[in-house]
Amino acid sequence: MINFSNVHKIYPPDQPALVSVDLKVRERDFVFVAGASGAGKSTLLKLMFGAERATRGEVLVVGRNLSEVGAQGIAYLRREIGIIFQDYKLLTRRSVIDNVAFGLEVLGVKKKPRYDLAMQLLEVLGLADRAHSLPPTLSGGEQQRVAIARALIHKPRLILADEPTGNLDPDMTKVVFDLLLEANAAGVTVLVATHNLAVIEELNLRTIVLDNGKIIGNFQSPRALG
Amino acid sequence: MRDGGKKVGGAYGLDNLWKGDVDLQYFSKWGVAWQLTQQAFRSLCASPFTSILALLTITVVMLLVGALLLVSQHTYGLMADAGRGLTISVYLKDAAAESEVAGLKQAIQAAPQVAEVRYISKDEALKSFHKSLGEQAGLLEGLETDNPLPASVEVTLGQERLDQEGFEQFAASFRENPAVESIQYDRGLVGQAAALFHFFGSVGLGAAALLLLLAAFIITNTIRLMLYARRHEIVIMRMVGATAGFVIAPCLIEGCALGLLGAVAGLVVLYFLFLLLTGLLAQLELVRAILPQLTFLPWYYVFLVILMGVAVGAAGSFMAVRRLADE
Ligand SMILES: Nc1ncnc2c1ncn2[C@@H]1O[C@H](COP(=O)(O)OP(=O)(O)OP(=O)(O)O)[C@@H](O)[C@H]1O
Ligand SMILES: [Mg+2]
Repeated sequence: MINFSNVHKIYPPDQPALVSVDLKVRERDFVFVAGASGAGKSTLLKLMFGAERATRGEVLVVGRNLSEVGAQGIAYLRREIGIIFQDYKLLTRRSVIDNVAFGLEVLGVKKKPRYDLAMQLLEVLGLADRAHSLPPTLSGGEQQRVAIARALIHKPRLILADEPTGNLDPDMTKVVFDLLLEANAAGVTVLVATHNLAVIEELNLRTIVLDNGKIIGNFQSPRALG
Repeated sequence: MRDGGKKVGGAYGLDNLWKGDVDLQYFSKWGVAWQLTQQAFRSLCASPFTSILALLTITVVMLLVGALLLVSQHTYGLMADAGRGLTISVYLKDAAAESEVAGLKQAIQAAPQVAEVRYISKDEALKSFHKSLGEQAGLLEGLETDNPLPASVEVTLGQERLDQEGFEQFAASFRENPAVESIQYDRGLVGQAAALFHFFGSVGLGAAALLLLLAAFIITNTIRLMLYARRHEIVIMRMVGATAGFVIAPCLIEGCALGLLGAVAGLVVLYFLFLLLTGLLAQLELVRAILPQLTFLPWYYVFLVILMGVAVGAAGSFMAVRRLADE
């Protein structure tokens, strides 16, 4: 699903963010990316969905070599990925259900099916009664769930989540991870960047540790290490 | 009940949702085009102030372009009148054979600029000279037997407008003819007419080009403002897999719509100004006597102005979105 070999990323002019990264994520994996602030977690994810290009090395994502695909190819890649941002990136002047359906709107899906599906998804996420509210009137956790709904609506093969619970309390954090786990159980590959060590320890799933742009650890069950 | 009463820790039913075959019907090509058009108008309406300001400016610009066309059209008309009056006298050699003269007449007649060809024999030439002298006609006595005046072919030019060079060339082409003695025409009038024509032509063309450039520039900036207002939305669109075309198309539609509406509005205003002006002019006897019948732009010029509006809109918005294509 994801294959990085000897990937370097240097932000212009000379800010190194990733150094010689090798990483393999198989289909249906659930992987955490951990590391201190500035370690390069977000950069790693951005390379995966084509928001940044590798300075050197090969990045393969969902069967595509990202140094070879153009802007159009990146757009089609993103249709197979659900991206969840720490800051939600919701359209603040459009309703919750508009936001969720937006993921299908840009793909050219007709209005009725896209709103039907968005409503079903909002019901699943317990947000049906807020469907017609504007995002800013929702709590942080609710907004995060809207963002997740949008990332899920097109049934992506891969979910990339950058600090999906950065602003959430433990209860909401649990809700979010339960959803991600369920998506994973349904066959979706999930990659989560976080520095929430408590969650990593509790879920005890494969964890990659970044430090100063280098992978310094790749643990199948981090709890065993303590 | 922050999560709406749903159980936490298990069955959200995502799997079921995805398995339950929701029939994702996609828009047809026309459906997508309609969707993009709606997006364009939503974007125009989202910044009404910017849109209206841009529309007003483009209306004024296209009004001026239309006015220029109208003026140059009427200058053309006057020019054609001036050109119509022009005659070229082609004097023939006395020794020219009849067949040669006939051939020359035919060649002149065949030229597209020519409206009329009249052969004037030596006798006729003398007669008209006679007449022009009036009371002094007695001076010509005795010439009947030894007429010194040459026969000639009088060429009257039609509506075809000639510039100076074209005219010289046209005249010179007959000078080569063995039957031709000499050629005479009013150089001054032709020269003046051509100069006037060139002046109006190039000034009008330059002004129109500048105005259109200005309109394109206004549209570029308007679309830039719209893009700026929608920048968050665009980032999100791109992140959920919208192609560059999906982002760019509404902008191009916006630009073309502004150009189209501006051109149509400009023409409508121009038409009413034209009616007002001709109404006022018609009340002045003097003007009515001098000016030919004033008509509005013919349909193909109206169409041309609208086409220019759309083209300017497309070009202007293209300049604004050029960079988006490869981001
Ligand atoms: N657009 C950019 N231009 C220049 N340098 C950047 C840019 N984005 C990130 N960096 C630098 O790259 C390094 C890695 O940044 P990155 O955002 O990947 O870290 P992170 O692990 O996501 O941190 P955090 O946990 O704070 O989100 C940092 O030193 C950062 O300053
Ligand atoms: Mg980050």
